[in-house]
Amino acid sequence: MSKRERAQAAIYAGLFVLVLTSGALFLSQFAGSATFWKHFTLGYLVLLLLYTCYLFALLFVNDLRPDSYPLYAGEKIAVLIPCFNESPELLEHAVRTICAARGRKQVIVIDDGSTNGARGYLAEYERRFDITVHYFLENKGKREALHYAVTHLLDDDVEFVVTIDSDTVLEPDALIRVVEPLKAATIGAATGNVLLLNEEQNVLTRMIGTYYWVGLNIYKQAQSVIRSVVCCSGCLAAYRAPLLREIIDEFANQRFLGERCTHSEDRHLTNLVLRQGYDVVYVEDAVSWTETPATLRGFLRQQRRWKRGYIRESIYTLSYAWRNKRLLFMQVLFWDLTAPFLSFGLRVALVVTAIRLPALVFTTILPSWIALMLIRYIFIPLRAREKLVGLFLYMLFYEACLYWLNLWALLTVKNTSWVTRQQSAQV
Amino acid sequence: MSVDDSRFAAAQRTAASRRGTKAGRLKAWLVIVPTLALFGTALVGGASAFGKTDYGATARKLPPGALVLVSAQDGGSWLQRLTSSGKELCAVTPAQMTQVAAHYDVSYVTVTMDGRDVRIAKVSGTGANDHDMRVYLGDARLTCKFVREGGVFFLPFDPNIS
Repeated sequence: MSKRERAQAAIYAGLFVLVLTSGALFLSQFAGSATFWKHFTLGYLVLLLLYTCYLFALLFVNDLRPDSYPLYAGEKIAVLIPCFNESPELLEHAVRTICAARGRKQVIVIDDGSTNGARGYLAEYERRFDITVHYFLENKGKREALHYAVTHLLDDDVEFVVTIDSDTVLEPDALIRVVEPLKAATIGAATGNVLLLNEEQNVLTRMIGTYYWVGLNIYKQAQSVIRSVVCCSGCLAAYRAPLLREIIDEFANQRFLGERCTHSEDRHLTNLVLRQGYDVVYVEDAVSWTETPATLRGFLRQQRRWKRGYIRESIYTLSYAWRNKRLLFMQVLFWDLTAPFLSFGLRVALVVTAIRLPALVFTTILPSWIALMLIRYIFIPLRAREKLVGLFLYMLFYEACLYWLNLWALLTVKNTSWVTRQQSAQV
Repeated sequence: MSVDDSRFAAAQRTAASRRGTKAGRLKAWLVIVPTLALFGTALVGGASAFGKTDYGATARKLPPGALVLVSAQDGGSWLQRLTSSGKELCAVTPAQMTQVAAHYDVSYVTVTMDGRDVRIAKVSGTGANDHDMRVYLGDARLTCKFVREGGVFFLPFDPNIS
């Protein structure tokens, strides 16, 4: 076991200690004195306040001095599209829009062992569009697909590599917008905006639409100000080609607690870029469109996978960020990774209060909760009013269901199943 | 609109004017900063009052007289009972206070109300509740009010954007 792996195992164990401590503090109020519990509650809320101020300060800086980057000047871009059992129509649409997008391109599709007869239609696309297609005989996973493309298929003169999902639709200038930051010497990767094609489909997709909006326009935007975006989304991400060649072997062979990692490859690739000392930014104007699961079951499966990746990769971040990304290190250590587990006792307290005193749910808990939600996510009433209902639904759903999924993800973090890729391409 | 149509439409769009003007974005901070300050004050203020009983506010609602703190046994609306500390503050006459001191175990706490110190008699032992005290004093109209307890009734919500 390497030093880094030992550190990761220790941090992972530390998360269990956090959950147990938080639970024990909740119980301590019934064992005589509530002093520890009161101090813990106050401490947590001060932490919440400090984090909110920090987040808002970053967003203020972004509004005051929005980033601008050098203009695209014809550098060659390789576009990698791994696909697995993707429907012919969606893939054709993705390929067509990418080929039509502005920029000098090499488009590579890697068929990851599809079993839906993809060979036939991919061969036809190869004739109709200016693309290269490579076929795996069996399903090897997205990491292997990206690894193969970077090590065997990239042209020598490629300067930037853009990865996109096989069901993604790009706006015409998305490709050049997302690679422009990479012309700055310190930036190693960039990620684009993701909008939902099916946001209007039902209540769930509206809720998820808000979740995406908050994730991109609040969290990712704030991370971009400190040049440390933690996840270049699989929908649209750009990397420097030489950097990608340097880290791709390590990326393909990632292990966590001895197990080979299969999912959340986008977060790990971003982590490797940050670890090399490069900056990672978010480009709001580089817009891609995708579809989200429209059923609760599909969404929960996706969330299970994402939350496992969130825990694993946040632990990974802590193992290197103190050396070159201190603000990111502090952010992950004091909030991103720890807050869900630290707040375990508080959430249990809330459930207990709601059961013991149900009348309080409507007279006190819900009104104060809505008021505070509107303040913490004030950017929605100010900048995306149409998503207010989605925010409210999402927050309720998070507290009732998704929060508890964090605990499940903590217990099953080594699980490697992809879950949503069984039938079709990843969502 | 079919999936194909929405895909086609998306592929024709551009990001122009999505962000809004810089001045417009900065103007929003005139709302955001005071709101955040209010949020901070409410959060820390609410948390620091967590679990503290507010004797002063209760005493103000009572007629003048000596103050006796007892356990709440009945009476009051459901909301009062739910949000109370399980105690009631009663206003008694000096003569009733003497009776109480002779019958119950009494200790005293001093609280500050409107800038002056007010002494409250805390009774304990068997029958130290409002119902039994009314019976003992023979005064069914004795005025008692629930003592509210500060609470923090919001969630530490923060959806992880993972």
